[in-house]
Amino acid sequence: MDLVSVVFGIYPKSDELRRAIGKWEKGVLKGKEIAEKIEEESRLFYDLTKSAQLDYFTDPLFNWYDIFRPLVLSVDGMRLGPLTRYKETNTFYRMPIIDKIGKLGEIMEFRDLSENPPLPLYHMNDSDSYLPFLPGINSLIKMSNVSRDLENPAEMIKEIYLEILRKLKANRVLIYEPMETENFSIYDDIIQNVKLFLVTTGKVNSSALSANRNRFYSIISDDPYSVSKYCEIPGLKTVNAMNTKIEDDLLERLKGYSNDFDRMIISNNESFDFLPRRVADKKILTFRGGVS
Amino acid sequence: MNMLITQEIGSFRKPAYLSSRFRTLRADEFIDVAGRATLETLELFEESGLMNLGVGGEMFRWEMYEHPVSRIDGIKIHGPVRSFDNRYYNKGSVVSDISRKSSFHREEVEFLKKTKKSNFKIPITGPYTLMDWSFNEHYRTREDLAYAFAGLVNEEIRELKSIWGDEVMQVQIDEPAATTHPSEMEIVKESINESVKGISGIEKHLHVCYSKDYDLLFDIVPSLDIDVYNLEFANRDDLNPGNERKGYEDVRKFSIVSNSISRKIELGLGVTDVHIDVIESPDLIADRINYALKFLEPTRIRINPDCGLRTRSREVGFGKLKNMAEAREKVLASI
Repeated sequence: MDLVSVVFGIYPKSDELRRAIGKWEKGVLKGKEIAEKIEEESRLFYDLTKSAQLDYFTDPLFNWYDIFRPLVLSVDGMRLGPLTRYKETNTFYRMPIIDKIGKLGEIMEFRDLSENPPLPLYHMNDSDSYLPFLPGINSLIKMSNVSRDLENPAEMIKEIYLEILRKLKANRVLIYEPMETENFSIYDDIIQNVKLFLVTTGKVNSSALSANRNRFYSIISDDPYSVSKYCEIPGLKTVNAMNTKIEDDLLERLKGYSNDFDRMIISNNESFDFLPRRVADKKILTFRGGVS
Repeated sequence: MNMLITQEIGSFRKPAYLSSRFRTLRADEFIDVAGRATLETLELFEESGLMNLGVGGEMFRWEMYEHPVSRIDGIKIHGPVRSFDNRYYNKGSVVSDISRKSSFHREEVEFLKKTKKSNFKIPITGPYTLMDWSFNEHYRTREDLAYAFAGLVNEEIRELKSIWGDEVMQVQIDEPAATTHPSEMEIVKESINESVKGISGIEKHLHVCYSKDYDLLFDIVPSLDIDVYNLEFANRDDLNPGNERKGYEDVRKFSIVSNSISRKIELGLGVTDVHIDVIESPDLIADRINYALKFLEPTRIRINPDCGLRTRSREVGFGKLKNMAEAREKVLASI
């Protein structure tokens, strides 16, 4: 079986970057200065992905205070609400308040934001392994306070996503649904435009996927059997980002799948931001043990 | 007057002379520097009009998790993990059976005793939160780990009480994680009760904040051995004075539970949001208190910030506490 490694989500910041962001929050560093620091740290992250020989990785999102925030601050009509617990964790996000879904602002250039480090949205890497990251449309709506006057917000967010992908000239993207989702048909238009790696949460019923006209490039879930029909490469969330134990038995654990799949994606099960940086760096190297 | 007592929840921004050297001060210097910061903060609290002074802003503690955990054997700290924005805590991995290496708060309580004041409330991180915020890489279940922490918290409270003496000591079990996992409310209940089991002469507070569903907590209130529930509300409310106080709708539910049990329990009402720099006006805070008074009599309500104020500057924190005290006066004048 050919194993393909994918690392996604917010990556933990180095101590140096944390301190620099602290200085920026206190006004000691200017927006431009912290943006340069984030760019530099992103480059170091890409070096790390190279030494870990990862097949795919998303942007480390070092300037994303949570998986929605810079996006929310880039769309007219969306704003930040109260600090809210992220799923069943001790991490918090600012609940998006969606009054309307208007124009997408400038995302590719430097731009100061309030209550989040400055843009650009991504610190892109020109390797074929780089994936822009977007939060799942269904989860964004579930985890936001959406105005009742808004008709079909999912469709409007999808249009924003398509615009982002056009601006990036992206031909692939990773979208992460942190909440359980009943229907993935909103992604049909995106699949037509780019290779979509979809990371799901919880049980995925085939009814959630059967309405899709197009196949995903990959659906990364807890059960590759239930999604394999609907994508080119099924994926399994294998590396635990919620535990500091270093998994050196990946190959052993994946053996059972080799009779059923020629190719399979393995990924982390959450953003590595739930771990100390030192542990995340070690975990990244375990993929190499898994992908021989 | 024993009505609408104003109280702190716990932490307050440390002065720079302490925060910048917190981790590098020698043990013999630490008590002097943390003590000086405590006295200054107590003075600030008194100037704001606050009635219960907490422990003077938790100047002896870096933060609520690392402080006790670093005094426990069996836990390894690998480094900081993000909580929100650019705020981090050192999350520990439980790698063997846990036991107290030393008291968590003895030095702080001994210092407070010397001030000859008694209007203190001592926050102690609760067993469920200690469990939930740790990586469990040793105990068979989360439940086993929570009960192991409960045993240590119980030992700690006993030790503090022995220092405190005969007077009633206010203890606040901090359980911000209490309602994080709805299926584990039985563990929350049992581990909190275990933490205070068999200890007399204490007034037991519980602090819970940023819950998605206070109903989960209210369901176990009848069987919790807790006297005062200090909860966050302001963060979920809007900033406009007026009659509608959406953030406070759960007060009615609390009143239903409190009326359904025979012993008196009280609500610590979070009236100021600790995550924004906006200093809520006395009018707005009074509005919030008046809303709660529709459901609970004033002897059953205490007034506090949503949570510790350590993420705000000392100036903003002071402004919030001062307006809280002013709002209390306004409300009392109208009762």
